Amino acid sequence: MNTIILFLSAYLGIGLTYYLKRTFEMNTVRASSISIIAGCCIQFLLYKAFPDQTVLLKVPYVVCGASFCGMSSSGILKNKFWAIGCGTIYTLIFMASALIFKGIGGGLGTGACLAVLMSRGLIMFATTVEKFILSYKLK
Amino acid sequence: MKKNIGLCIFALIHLYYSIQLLSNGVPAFEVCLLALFVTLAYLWEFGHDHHNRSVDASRIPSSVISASLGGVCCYLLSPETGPILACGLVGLLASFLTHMFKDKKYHELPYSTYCGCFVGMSAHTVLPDAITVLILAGVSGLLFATTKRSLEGVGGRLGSISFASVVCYILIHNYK
Repeated sequence: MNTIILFLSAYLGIGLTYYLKRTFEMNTVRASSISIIAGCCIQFLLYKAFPDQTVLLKVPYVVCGASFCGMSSSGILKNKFWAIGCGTIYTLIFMASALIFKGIGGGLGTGACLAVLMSRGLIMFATTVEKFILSYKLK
Repeated sequence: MKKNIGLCIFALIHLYYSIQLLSNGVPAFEVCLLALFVTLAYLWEFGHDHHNRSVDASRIPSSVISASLGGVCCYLLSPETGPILACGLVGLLASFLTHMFKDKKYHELPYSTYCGCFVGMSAHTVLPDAITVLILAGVSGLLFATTKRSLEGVGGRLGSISFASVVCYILIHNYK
């Protein structure tokens, strides 16, 4: 359950930033800030209703990091499916690194950057494999 | 700074991050998988040098000042609101800077301020006083201005710059 909440928080962070940036053509810094504030509001609203407080404390951190992923340009996160994929990778990185880089400024951003680069690497790998399969079929 | 030097700086930051993951018990298979695809993305970046423009030195002072101010504001605000909300609030205010300074030279002020914010998000046990934050955020502003063309459009690059300046401080501090 806790893991699902973290994944959902990441999708909220990346999705909201992505949506605000693309739909309203908003400044990326503003889109990310609004997502972060929304994440903090959600934590505040659910604080008393939610049984497990420890996972709720992590929600703003995940939303914050995921919103950095959402700041990527359209050339990198080409569609919403890749944005969701990037959010998934970011949550996995966050779960592995949350305690290691606790209190170090920029730790969330570095995790987000690695998630975006990994998504990009995966896109390139998938494209290459697709081209290879197509050329093999043509032969 | 040339794009490739900037890319090397980012590669070093990410290598340090991955090594820390590995040395703190994260399974080697997961780190290797991450490193493999990240390396692929880096190779592509090194191969496609489509933004090889020189750095505009006139933008450096404004980047350094805005990053320093952003960092200190976030640092001073974080005991009251928590680091995340402090970052969100400072970032939101910073995003309106382009309305105040309409000159094209200042178009990147929100980004450099946001970059400084991440330094200010550090715990008070890691960065003990505001002067240290001011200096480190200034360094991150300088790095932001000089590595502007590297990893352009990749989310999290501002955080990576801040992470580099904070980690350098921690390493120097621990070495003493």
